[in-house]
Amino acid sequence: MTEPDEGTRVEAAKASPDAFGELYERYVDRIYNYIYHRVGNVHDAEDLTSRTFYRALSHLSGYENKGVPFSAWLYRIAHNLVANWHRDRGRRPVVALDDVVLRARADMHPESVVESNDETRLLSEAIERLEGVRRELLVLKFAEGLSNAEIGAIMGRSEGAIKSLYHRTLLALRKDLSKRGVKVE
Amino acid sequence: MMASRSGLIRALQRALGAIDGAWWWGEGLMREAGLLPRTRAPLEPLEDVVQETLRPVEPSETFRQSLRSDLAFAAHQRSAGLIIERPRPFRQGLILGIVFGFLAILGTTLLIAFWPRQRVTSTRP
Repeated sequence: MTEPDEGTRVEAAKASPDAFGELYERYVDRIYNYIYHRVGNVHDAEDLTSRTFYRALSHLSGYENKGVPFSAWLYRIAHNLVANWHRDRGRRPVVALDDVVLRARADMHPESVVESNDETRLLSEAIERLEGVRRELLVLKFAEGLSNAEIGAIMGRSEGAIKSLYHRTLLALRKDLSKRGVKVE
Repeated sequence: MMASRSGLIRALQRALGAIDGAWWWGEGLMREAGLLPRTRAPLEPLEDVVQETLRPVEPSETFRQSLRSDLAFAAHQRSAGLIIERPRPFRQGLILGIVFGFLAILGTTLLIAFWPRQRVTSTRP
């Protein structure tokens, strides 16, 4: 029995409240993960995740796949909420590594080590100093594990542009780290 | 007009992205061919460290279940046609404006009607 595709799930969710729960289960981890790495704390991540899904529920009837998959639409809602959050606070949060509790997803190797050494903290702070678009790219690529094409759909850019932006982002990150005496080999 | 301007901006962004992508691809090719110096160290070690830093996190089970039931309730409310309306300040302002306008007209009318006037007395011989 083949699994229903995303379009079928979305149409089912429009018609049935219970079907929206399936969509929620499918994407809640990813959206939470994305938001957490953008805002840096559990409380705001939970708040913004809730708002993302409430907004998705209220606008679901208006969603149509015109080249933008549902997952990308959901990420855009999350992105806009995070952008508003940053604007309202006027600050760039720093991820407190001591507060991070890492739990591996079922489809990943079971690692639960919290790393809080100086190099990791410096790297985390360097990522926070990056321009918003670059930071978002790293979160989508590494924390979410998305391909360049998927990232391009979310950020509204071509795959080639994402590759180029990724390359420049890593160079900028390395330059920032070397300025602070951190060498990554 | 707005739609064509945003379409133009999107097209320009795509074109710039394509040029940027082609530039990067060409630069990489030239470095591989030795036409440009390979002054930059490989980025793989940095990618590995970034991957370690940005490891996936999961929400707590309490939060996940709580939000799921809240959303289920909201979804059923919506399907039953019950929508909680957000406060609309503009509509409230309009209603207040109409009421005050009506009161102002009424007050002016009453004022004109009962304002003591000089009575013209006829002076017939």
